[in-house]
Amino acid sequence: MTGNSGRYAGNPFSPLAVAITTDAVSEDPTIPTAAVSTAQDLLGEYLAAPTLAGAGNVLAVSGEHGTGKTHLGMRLVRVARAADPPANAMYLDVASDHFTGLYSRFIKRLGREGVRARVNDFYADVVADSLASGPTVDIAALVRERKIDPNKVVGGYQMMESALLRQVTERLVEELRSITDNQIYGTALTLLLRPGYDDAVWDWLNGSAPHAALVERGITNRIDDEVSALDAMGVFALLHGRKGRRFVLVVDEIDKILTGRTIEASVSKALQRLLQVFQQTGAFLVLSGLPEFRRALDDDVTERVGVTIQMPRLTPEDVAAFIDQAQRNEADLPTVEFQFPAVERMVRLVNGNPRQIIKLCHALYRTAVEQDRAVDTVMVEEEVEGQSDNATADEVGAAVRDLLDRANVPYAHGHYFGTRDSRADFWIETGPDSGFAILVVDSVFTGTVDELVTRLTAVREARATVEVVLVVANILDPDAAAELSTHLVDPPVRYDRRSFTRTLQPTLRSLATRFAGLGGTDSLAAIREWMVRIDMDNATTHQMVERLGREMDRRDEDTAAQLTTLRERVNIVNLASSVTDRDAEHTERRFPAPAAELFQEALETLDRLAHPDALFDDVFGRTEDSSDHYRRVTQLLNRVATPGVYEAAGTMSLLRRWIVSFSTATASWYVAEGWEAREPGPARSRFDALCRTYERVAETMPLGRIAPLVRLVAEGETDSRRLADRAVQERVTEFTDQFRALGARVRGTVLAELSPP
Amino acid sequence: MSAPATGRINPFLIPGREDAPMSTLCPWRENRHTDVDLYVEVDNYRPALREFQARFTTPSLLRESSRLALVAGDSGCGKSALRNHCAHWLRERLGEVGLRGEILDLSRAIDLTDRENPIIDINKRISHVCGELVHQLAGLDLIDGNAKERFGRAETSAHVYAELAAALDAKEQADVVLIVLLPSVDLLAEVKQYLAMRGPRVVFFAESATVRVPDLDSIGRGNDVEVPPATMTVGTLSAADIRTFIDRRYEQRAKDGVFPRLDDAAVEALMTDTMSIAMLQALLTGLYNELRWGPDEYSNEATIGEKRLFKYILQRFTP
Repeated sequence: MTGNSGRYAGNPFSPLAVAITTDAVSEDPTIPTAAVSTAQDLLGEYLAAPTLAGAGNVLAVSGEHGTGKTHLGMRLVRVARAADPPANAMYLDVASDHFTGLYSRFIKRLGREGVRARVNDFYADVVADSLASGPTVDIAALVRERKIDPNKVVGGYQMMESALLRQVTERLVEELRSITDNQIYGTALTLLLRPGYDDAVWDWLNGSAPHAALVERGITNRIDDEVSALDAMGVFALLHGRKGRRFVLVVDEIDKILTGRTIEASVSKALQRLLQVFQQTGAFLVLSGLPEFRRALDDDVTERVGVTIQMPRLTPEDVAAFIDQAQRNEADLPTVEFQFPAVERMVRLVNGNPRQIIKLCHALYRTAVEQDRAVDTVMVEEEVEGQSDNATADEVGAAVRDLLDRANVPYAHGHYFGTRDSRADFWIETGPDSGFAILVVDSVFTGTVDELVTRLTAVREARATVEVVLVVANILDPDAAAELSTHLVDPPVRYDRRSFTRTLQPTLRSLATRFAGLGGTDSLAAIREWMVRIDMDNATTHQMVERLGREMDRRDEDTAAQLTTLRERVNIVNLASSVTDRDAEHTERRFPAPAAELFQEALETLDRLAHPDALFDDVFGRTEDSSDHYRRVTQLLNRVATPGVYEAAGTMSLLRRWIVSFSTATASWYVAEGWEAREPGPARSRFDALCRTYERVAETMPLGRIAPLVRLVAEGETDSRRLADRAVQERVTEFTDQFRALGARVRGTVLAELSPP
Repeated sequence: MSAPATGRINPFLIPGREDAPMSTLCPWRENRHTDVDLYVEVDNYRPALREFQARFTTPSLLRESSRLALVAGDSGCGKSALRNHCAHWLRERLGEVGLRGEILDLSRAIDLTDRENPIIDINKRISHVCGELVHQLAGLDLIDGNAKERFGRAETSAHVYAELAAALDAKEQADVVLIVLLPSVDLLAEVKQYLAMRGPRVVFFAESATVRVPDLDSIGRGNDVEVPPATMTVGTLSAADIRTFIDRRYEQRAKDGVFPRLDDAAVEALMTDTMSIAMLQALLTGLYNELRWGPDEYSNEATIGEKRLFKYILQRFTP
């Protein structure tokens, strides 16, 4: 290390190791694997193609969680936007499990003006054609080259606007025929050009029921099913990709839509049409997700996919290069030596998962700076064992219990088979002398594997027939895994919050299948029924989410007043409203709204998750039944008296204060120096330092301490402890991610706003 | 720019409306627009007017019935001018049979820029127009306050139109026939709804740039239509129309002052398939205004060639 004083002043590695999905596309360094190179080369060929005919492509990117799919997707978008001429590029992550949700995000990102501009293209062509003879022929050329606004020409020359609009509709219908024979899009998009009708059209395009004025024109159905949503996406892909205009769309987490259900034939066909549109219109589509999504596509759809890229696990060489690049990008921070054996150990322990590697690098860098030493294998192992924000065995146990409870499977929790070594976290008896045992452990290293093997052996020998499932919450050392393989039929299940049920199911199915050859009819029937119940898991989850969503909506209304007060306190825009006189050309220096919204969103998340006002108001609200009221007040007081609630409230107050201070400092900087920060220099360095300071704060804040207050609110929404437990986990994670990512997102957004258009 | 020399005129400006060269001829509002010379025989204008007149040979029948006249054609083809001419003629004709035609111009009653309260579906449009009609009638003192209030509570516009004659009678306006100029209509369904309004002494004038002629014919064949609408169509100018229009204006204004003439090549350059009366009027008034105030020779002997015409058009919109 050089020049390191041991003072930790920032970190070249992202604290969250999750690609920040804002419009300010990630500038984090990219690990240059073969997969990344292939993807970039394909995009490069597309961007450089002299003509779009035949240049359209569909790329599939597949990989497990944390393998860099999102980062790659965002990088492709950034490259496309930076091309000359720049491509129209968009990143979309799937936030729902149906194509309707994807379409909703897509149309919002396109925006009304974006869509109108594409329709205006048709209008300009029609106007130009109409002017193409006689005394207006020179004007026609100017309109065609978009040097003159066609609307001005139509008005100025008193052209027959009704005839022109009619031709726009006809051309739209003709051009969209490859997607749909339905003329409604031609009609609706033309109406978008007419004042008074555009609101109705835009609402319909966003999924609302068609306004009476649209119904009168033959637009009677909503865009509210997957087929119509996919067709609508095809319409806009075609509009955006015509006339030599390059259009790049990255759809991430597509597995959420494609897996865990049966795709109807009509939906599959619509998806096929969409991919065909992208190819034929010369657009570039990237579908990215967990590996299962490829298997969910039928053959006709798969045929439309040009290239599939598998995101690889990282090699030590990849990681060493990444570490070097990341530190070079932050040259003003101390350089830390990562010894190559340490890099190798890190890669081995987390199985080359990029996200976990980046998180480890972040933590190791901090430790190395604070302790003024190089990163060696000892530090790596200490850090891996001590990762405090990973899942715990308790959390995993709760998830397993939740799964079994919902499946209505009787089990014994924390069951001993006679000796202290023979503890099963969950014992499911299937017969007088048989059953499943589920063991949950934090991590498995070579140093602890013997103890675990002893336990496994004791459990398996406790009955005549015992099948064991081992669930590992965090790290599974590959060497330890190899040793365990001789004691387990199925490999250990690695816990992942987002996909645990999906991951555990195959193992349980495998066990059930083996049991089918043993035991009596009763046990087989019970197991089969259990599998059906687990298959219903998705539906149950949806019901729970919907119910919680309704509760959240109600609370959102209640908190609107409090949010108004908050907005007055976090008056970012007014902070930046004072104008400097230094540069008369740039009198508009208002703090960019997208950045201000990030702060607002963080505060709103905080209030939404841990705002007990509705509960407290409810206590004073209804008093008609005195005994019921007394009981509810008593319940609430007991909950409030739970250890940690008041501490959580104090933590919340501090977190809010940090966000407000960060926002104030950012706004002040923006007013004073934002303009100079358009290019790298002292002003930008000061901004980077400001953001890094926030990241240090975010790292040190005990975010988990808000959990009791989050639980208080969650338990007020449901009578189910299980649902409350899950809600608490999800919400704390949501807020933690948002709070920790705020610095990087603000930085990216502000710099994007300052970039020249 | 200096004032033009005495005698220089723009032959395409309507006398008295030099400040609004694109304003529509409106004889029922502007007395000077009754001059038949202002109406050039182009684009089916005269046959269309005669068609309308033929449908109203017995205007006294309006005491007992309502009627609808529809002018169809793309924007800028002269629908409003024809409508105004027909409305004026009808008012005159009603006077000849002891009736008094009252023209109510509701053609601008609907403001499509009002985002707070968009009036874009048929029911809202009809209701809004009806409300404006009642308001105007009250303002002209043709109905009393009770009628106005009653109409404000009416369930449907059809109810209002059905009761209008009675309301007029109550105000001793038994000789009044309302000639209602409606806002431009997009859909045939809206035309049909007006056609279905049963109330005597109302003549609706509708214009549409989108309802097509075959659709108009289907209205006439409907079994539920008492009296089919009077339908007229206007369209683009033929080459002959363009020549006629220009020559006629030259002829009419020759006695008023001096002005150059377009040569044959320039006139032929204007003969495109998409030339409407509005577009021709806009081009020529603009061209002559520029020449009139400019340094070039502006006399009866001077000519305007194709090049000058092209130059004017290009310069007007070059960024």
